[in-house]
Amino acid sequence: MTARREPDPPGVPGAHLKWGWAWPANRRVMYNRASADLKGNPWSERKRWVWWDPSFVNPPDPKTGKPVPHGKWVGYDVPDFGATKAPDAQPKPDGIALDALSGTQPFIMRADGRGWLFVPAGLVDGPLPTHYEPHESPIQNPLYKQQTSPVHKVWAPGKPYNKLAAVGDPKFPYVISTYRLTEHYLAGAMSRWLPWLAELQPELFIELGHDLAKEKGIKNLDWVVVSSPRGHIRAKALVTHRIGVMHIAGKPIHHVGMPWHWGWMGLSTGDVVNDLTSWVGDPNVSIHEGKAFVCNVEKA
Amino acid sequence: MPEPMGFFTDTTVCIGCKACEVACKEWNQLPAENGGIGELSGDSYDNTRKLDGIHWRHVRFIEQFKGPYDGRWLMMSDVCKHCVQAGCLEVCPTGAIIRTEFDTVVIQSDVCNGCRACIAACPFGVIDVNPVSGTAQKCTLCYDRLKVGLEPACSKACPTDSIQFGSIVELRTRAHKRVDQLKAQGVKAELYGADPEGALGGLNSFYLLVDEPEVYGLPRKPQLPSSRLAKSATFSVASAAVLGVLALVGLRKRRMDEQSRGGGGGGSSNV
Amino acid sequence: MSDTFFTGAPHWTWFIIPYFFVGGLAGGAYFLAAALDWFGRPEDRPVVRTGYDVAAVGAILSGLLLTIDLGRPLRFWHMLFQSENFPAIMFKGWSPISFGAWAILLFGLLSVLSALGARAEEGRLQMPALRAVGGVVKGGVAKLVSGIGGLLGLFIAGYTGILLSVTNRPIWADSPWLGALFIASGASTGAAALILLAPARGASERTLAWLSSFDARALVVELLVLAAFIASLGSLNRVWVSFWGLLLLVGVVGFGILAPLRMHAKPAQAAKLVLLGGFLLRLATMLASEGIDRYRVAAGL
Repeated sequence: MTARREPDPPGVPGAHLKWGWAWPANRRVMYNRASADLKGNPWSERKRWVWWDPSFVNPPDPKTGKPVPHGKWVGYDVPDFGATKAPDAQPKPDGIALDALSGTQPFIMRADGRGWLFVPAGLVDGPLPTHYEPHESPIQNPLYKQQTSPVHKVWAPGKPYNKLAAVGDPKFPYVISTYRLTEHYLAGAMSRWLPWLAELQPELFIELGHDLAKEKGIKNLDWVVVSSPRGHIRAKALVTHRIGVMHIAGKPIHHVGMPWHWGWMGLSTGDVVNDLTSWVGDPNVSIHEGKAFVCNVEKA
Repeated sequence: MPEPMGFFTDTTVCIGCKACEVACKEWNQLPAENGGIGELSGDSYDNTRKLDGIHWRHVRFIEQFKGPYDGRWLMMSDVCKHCVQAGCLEVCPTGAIIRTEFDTVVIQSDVCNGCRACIAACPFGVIDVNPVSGTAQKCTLCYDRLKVGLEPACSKACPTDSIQFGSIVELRTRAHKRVDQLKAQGVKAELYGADPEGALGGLNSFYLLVDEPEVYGLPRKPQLPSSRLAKSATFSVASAAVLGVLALVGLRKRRMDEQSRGGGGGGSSNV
Repeated sequence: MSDTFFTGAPHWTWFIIPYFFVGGLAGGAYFLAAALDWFGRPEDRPVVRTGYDVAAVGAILSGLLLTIDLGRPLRFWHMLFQSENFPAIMFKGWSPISFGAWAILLFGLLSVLSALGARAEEGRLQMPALRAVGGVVKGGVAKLVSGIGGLLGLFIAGYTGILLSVTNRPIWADSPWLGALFIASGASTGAAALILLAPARGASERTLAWLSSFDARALVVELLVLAAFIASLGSLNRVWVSFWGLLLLVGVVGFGILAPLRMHAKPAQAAKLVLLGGFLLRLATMLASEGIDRYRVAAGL
């Protein structure tokens, strides 16, 4: 079934039900009862998908032999709903599972049959996403007076090894992200010992834009010192247009980036980029803000 | 009966992961350069730089930007082109370089004596000496794998199917379809080496490129070395003839001068 | 940009550059010796014998240099015989390095025979085996050997230039004049070598005078061919805006051609400069191309 490749003809609306197989019932859009309104008619002609045909003659119930009232959900897709459950059906008083849901509750895998925009418990923030600046940022939050998430984690607050820059600190004017390369894995403890990988990316580098490079007198492959409130490291400069200056809140803000795969053992060695990052983390899952903090870059 | 096999490399889907480089090294057990201890090249994400005796696959990274964030990053896995008319095979004086039943070009490592004529002859700069063996080495299109019905290591490893392996006839059909599809999207796509009437009779490892060949480090009109033999030999023969005539005329003049002086010894030199 | 800039360098350097010089010189010397052997006079014999010796030593030295340069020197014979089908011959008439290997072998054989013949003529061979061989090489046999060898000598001097052209390398493959240039240089350096070495073997003033005048003419031919070579490179001549260009202009043209042409009164000094110029010519043309490699070109280096 999964190898079927029979599309619907062009120009005809359809779900291409004969193209492969969507487990478990070949239904292509989940909760597709929601494509029809409370009365069972499509919300719009353009979005007609699954709808209630009240005149459909149903065969008797194969299990009990009792006749089944007229009406069936029909359409382009396999209905994700009781096939003959009318839009005005009421939940059974002592019903369990789907019997406890009415004809206007399409989210059949939720206990109340409704779609939820957010969970009522389990997260420390929310309910809806919004924009906060990272703990270290060169600018004020343009959306709110509340600069950062009020519930984000800060480890060792006030300790000298987790100094954090104030907003717009001129000593650390650039935004830095850390990221990965294909050739190395995590902190590089394994990949930096493998000759075939070490030769593909042999040294730590910092990627910076041509504008910043010119401003600081840095040429491609020059040694630079990258510093943050937590410390400083050395790396070679890779000057590129793939990263560069952005204009934010009326200011030119330089963005620089470093892969964080290096350490001092192995065939390929280099400074540890995590010496720079801030001990600040996501409110729920504690991932640290390794992709958004501030730094300074100077020619070594 | 085996038919011409090779690669069609669609550079538009290459992600620059270098799995092809590593798979090739692993299958052929090639050493890393300097044991893996190297220096950053500064050339984008390309620290391999060129094909050589211990790098038989090389991923190029070409940054084409007008300003910050404004441009594109081209990636291409370079390899031996397995030319239908191969310059390296032409000049090899030991007969080490042969054409296999798959129409691929292979250097027999036990015959090569490391004279390096093939290195100078290759129009694509693909070959170099493997310092371990002292002989010239390059991509074999995994001849050992083809013989047992496997596909080459690089094409097997390629996660995006940028490197596609198969019969040349089928690959060319596929490639032309892909070019048409891309052109319909407004991409300036061209095939390099897919024309059997074209340079070197076509390349059994051909490419889909989105810019001029020079951008990718490829020669626009690669030629066979022997195309230069006739002219070079003619001019050399002419030079030899001139010198020969000068020598003989000089000797003759000397003899005639001495005869006209009535022979005898002494006398200042003339001619 | 010429397509030749997208190729890789073969690293023909420290053994091959001296080989080109020695081979050219030996070939030129043999040619001159053969010319004197066939068309010269008895007073020319000392130069003829010197020429054969220079050719023989040069040929043996060439063989050694070429063999050491190989990545697998013990496999040098793979260029002469098919290693998997010994003793089937390995020969490609369209590949200069293939027909050159056989040419050097033949040249070595002929030049050694001629040298032995010349020594036998002087009665200087001690070992019975050598004396037997040398004894054969006289009269008509000697003329046949030197006739073929003389032509082969010019071939040896020039085929190396053709070899460089039958590649895809910058400068070499961009001009058809290298073979002609190396022949002229081989002739001039061969003559220069004889001018320096033959007096010790008893060469007459007149032979030396003829050598000097031939050398001068060969230098003029060399200069003209060098000009044609440069002209044929067209826009590629920007490669000479470098140390190699300086070497070519000052070392080869200045010291190696123009200066000796003006030194009529001091033939020995002139000959030394000619030799220097010949060596520098090989050095400049080889290394100027060697430095051009596709990844450096791609990187804008």
